[in-house]
Amino acid sequence: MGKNAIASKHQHSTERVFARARATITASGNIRTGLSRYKSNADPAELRLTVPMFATHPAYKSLVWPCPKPPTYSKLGKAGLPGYASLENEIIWGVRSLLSWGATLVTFLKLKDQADQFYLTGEIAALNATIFEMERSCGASLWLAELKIAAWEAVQSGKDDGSSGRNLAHTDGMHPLAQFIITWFAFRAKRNLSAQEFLRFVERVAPMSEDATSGLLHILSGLCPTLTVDQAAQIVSYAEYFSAIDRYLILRSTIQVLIAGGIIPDELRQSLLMELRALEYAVEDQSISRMIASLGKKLNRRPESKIPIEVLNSYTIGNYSKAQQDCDKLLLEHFDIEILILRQRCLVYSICKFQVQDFSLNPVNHETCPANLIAQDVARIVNFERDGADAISRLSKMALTCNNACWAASLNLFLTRVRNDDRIGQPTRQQVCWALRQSVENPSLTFAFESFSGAEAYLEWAYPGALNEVAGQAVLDLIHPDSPTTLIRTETEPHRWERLQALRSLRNHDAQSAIGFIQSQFVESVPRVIRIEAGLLLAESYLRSREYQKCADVCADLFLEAPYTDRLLPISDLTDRLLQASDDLSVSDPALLGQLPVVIVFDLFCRLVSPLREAERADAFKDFLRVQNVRVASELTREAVGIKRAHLIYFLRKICVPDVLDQSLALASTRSVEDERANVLLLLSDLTTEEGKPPAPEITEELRSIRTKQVVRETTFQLDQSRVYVNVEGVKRTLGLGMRETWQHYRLMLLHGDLEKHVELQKLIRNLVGSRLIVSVGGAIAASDKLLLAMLQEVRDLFATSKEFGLDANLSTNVRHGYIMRELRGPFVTRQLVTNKSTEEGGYKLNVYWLERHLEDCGGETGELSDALQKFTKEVDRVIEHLNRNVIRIRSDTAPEGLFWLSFSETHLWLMRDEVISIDNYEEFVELVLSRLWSMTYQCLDAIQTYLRGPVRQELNAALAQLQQTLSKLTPTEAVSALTVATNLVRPDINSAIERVSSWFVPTAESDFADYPLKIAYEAALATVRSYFRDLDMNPNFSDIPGALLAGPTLPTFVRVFSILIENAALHSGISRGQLRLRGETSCDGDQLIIAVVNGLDPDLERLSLIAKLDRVNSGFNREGAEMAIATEGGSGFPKIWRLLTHDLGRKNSLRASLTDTDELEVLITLDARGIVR
Amino acid sequence: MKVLIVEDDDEKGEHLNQFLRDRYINIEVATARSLQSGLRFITTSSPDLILLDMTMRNYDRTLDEEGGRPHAFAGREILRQMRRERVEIPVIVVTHFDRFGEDDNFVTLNELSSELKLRFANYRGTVQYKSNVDDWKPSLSLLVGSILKMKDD
Repeated sequence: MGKNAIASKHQHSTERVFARARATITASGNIRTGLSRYKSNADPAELRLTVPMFATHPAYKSLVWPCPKPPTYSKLGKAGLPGYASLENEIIWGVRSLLSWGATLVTFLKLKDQADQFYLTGEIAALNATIFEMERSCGASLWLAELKIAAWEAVQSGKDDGSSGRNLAHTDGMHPLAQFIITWFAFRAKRNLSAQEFLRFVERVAPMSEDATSGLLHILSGLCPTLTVDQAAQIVSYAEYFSAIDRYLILRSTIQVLIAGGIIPDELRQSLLMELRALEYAVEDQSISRMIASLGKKLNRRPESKIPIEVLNSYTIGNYSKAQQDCDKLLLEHFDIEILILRQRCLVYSICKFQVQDFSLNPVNHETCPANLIAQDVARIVNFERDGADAISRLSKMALTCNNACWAASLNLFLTRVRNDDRIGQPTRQQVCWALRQSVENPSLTFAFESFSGAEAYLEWAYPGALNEVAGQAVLDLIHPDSPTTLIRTETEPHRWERLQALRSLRNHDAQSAIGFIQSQFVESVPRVIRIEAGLLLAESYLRSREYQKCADVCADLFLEAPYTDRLLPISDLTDRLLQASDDLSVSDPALLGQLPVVIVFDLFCRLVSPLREAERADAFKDFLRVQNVRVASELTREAVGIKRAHLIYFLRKICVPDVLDQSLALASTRSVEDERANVLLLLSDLTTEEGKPPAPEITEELRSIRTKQVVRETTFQLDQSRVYVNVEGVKRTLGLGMRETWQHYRLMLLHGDLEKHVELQKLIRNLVGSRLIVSVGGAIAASDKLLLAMLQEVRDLFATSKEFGLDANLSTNVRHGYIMRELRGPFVTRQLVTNKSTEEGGYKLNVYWLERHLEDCGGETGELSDALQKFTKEVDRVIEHLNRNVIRIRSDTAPEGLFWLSFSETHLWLMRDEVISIDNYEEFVELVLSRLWSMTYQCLDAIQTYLRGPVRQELNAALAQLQQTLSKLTPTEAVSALTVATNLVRPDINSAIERVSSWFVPTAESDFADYPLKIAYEAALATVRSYFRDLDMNPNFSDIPGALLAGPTLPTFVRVFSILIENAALHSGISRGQLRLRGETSCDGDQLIIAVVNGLDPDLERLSLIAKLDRVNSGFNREGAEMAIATEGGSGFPKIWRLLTHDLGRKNSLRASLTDTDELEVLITLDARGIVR
Repeated sequence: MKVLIVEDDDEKGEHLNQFLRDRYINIEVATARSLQSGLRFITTSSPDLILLDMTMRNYDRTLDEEGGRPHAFAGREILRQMRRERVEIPVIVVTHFDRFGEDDNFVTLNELSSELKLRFANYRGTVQYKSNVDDWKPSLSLLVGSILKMKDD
């Protein structure tokens, strides 16, 4: 039978099969459903015959494939047949449908390559023209949308921030699935989103599920998901929604994922190869040929794009300059990532310094040309530069944005091989997938395909005769121990040969031999890049040979020489194995982890991988000190045996930090940790000085910061101990002449104590003292007692209630002015257990924090919880208010519960009289009375402490218990559970707060403050206010007068002044959360010290009423204003500032509060600086 | 018997102390109020039993010591350090809480108890303490009893 006869017979036979198939479909009553059933049930061989006929038949083609060439984006995506068939039938259905579009796909692949080249070389105009041509010839597609978005973002510098991509996704009429995918493309391309963030986002928001859309999304997003055969069938089926080029690319990518995952069933393998061959014949796509070759099948068609073996030979034998020149020529013809990488490696090995090469075809785009950016970053990576990690991050993002471009796969493979070298270990699924998607053939792809026996077939296809080439032998030598190595031995550089042998040994699980080959290259005399590459291999070899401490030593050396290598070192595996080895010991042995390189490796793990091993890092740190036989790190001597200087410096600088030091049992407090850190910094400074360098600025800055923190803390502590005081000198001055005269007369009465002189004496007294004396003279003794009592009362009144100097005024300024409330309420506020009132008179706000959580959890009623929380807040505030308003008071008719009970009883009088008799000096008398008043005050302080530790603590604990009781009866939700935890966590905090407040009620300590820069006062004030306003971020931004110190005794006053000013900013700026701009400034103008505190304001804060308030404040900043407000709490606190500056400091002063031109609030204080600024 | 209570809540510490004194004779109770002081006590003394809180600060809080870092799993860290130093004193965890940590570190009390049981041979159980309900007492009594019995045996 002749050929024509055979063909004719075949055609008749095909037509008969097609007719039978149509009959079956028609019989089903619904052509769509019938076609779908046919796709599922037909024999694969029959489908190969019939699908091309259905795909072109006028009655069926729109059902088989609704829209293969969408004229616009509004037509992109249309549902195809319902359901899906087996993977085999879906692949056949897809491939055979595509065959009729072969010519379009050939055109597309050519244009696609052109577009990629224009994109990489920054030829925007040509790129746009190509996109236009592709839209015309192939229609709208997901692929084109992706390219457009990438072009907008990268080539046009992302000027529209992806909005054009989003606009494309919102095209009216576009199928929702297409819109969904394009939205992801636009999101993925956003400049401020890293590849890692995007991939984490995909995993979180659209994790792989049985639903095939997630698989489709993962594949199109650049992932290589684990697919089941069923999921793969669904994805291939979904592809018919889209255009011919999308369908082709989705089908190709899905098959690549299947091959990479090694999940192609044997029974499908032959069928798949048949389809791939059909596709290869029709489309002439080199990546399809590569898939066939990697599956072990021989091909006649050879690859068009590959790295020429001659160039690879030059590279392998070490003729880098020749190889580089060849690469440059090739790159100018066609920019391929594989060739670029080879070129950059040549440069590293030849001159160890990079020449900048401009790959941009358009000089205008030199800066933004992707090819140039890629070249620079690849150079950073292969040269192990400090910013290598950033380079990896940038390139990963670039590759992700253009995921469906072949060059992106090449780039991705390069980036992952940096961390997972498939020459010495298994390639990952993702690596195999990228190897299948490459643009150019390269012998090194062999390693990716070896896992599914495609290595030799691939090499034979891509590089026939490679066995006789040095570059081919270098690959084969690793794969087959018996392959010939003559050329490698004779022609390659010694270091390259040794490296190959080390790789080969590792590949063959002989780590010891690998160490033997490579360790000679990890020495100082070897060029840097070769040494680092050797080090990486050596670290891996030591790990595999279980020499963990040597491995750690190499890791530490490498990291300190080239910090970027931290990403490439086996840090995770090494720490795992060290911990396992430690656990396996029967007796604890500090020598295992107590080696400095091991400590450094644990530190790297904590910084790079996860903080979950911080405790183990501290263990290694402590073991190291134990092995060194020192108590603390600062005792280490710089000549310590076996410690490399670079390791020691890193250890001191980066590991001996508070979070590690505080795990040492040798340090028992925060203060001792700070001191130790300061000592460590001094040691570091010495080490640096020994090298002839000045101490690093960050060392001196950290030392200064530690010292400042300590001074501020000590100052705050001392100030807390001196809240209760009386300006005794002020009291004495006020008593003045009148009291002195009264005292003289009292003395006179005592001296002339006989009854005969009583009348005369009384007259004398009346004449001298007049009505000021409240004396009802019943006899000489009673008269003198009453005179004494009057004097005592007068001193007592000034001592207790003088608005300028007295105890009550100081209690008001230093204790009651919000401090008690904030200190005791603070722990509850921190744990969101209490809320504020909406207004002074109004009710409490709802506790939205807990109510919303509870509502989310149970979705039901929150009334009971709300009531309980409101009741709790009310009770807490009642207890604190009562303490503040009623208890911490001078006892009087208006404050009967006041615990400062300063009163002279008859007993006091008698006792005083007996003592006074022996005193003939007025000053002594006043001192005696004041000392009695202090004694009484101390008793009152004890009483207040007892009250705080007794009733206050009990009542607050009772309120907590009541709240917990209510919570235990509510629906047990996550929120209720978390709230119960909060009520328990707050208990120790409350106890601490009570203890802190109790500590205020002690006699004022005799503090001898050293002269200080005003910044110390500002920071001490800030530290206090910060602890009350934890939701506000207030920076210690203070500009001091350079070199100026203030007299030590003024410190408490200035801290109090700053506290009031900063607290005002926090309370009245209208900003309750986030950043509160705050700065302090000081200057001197002649004898005047000028202090300004400036704060930002919430834009919504009503400015007119603020200005009115400021006017009132400014006009009331004087004696009258102060006297009116001094004993009351609340308000601006400015009268208290007046009193502090005028009476405590004894300075003339002025204050002005105003709005600045930049809409900030400025409070400007001017005071006489003479004698206080040094 | 020498018992160490590692507890930063003074009220709870006092309740536990009282409970032990009321129930057992010849008992000597010591208290540590933080992760570090707990560890220090364990390494320098040898108590027969440890009642361990889970969430504590690094240092004992005093007026001039804020307590350092809070540790959500201070108790677990003490157990880990004991294992590292091969110290095998029986430990009972007594905690207010039914949940610990946040975000990635979050665990419920049941999960934490399972983890402790798996990791530490000297961990004998957990008692959930409540300040206003006494149902923790029988649970604690049972656990202490079983330890005493083992000691006697």
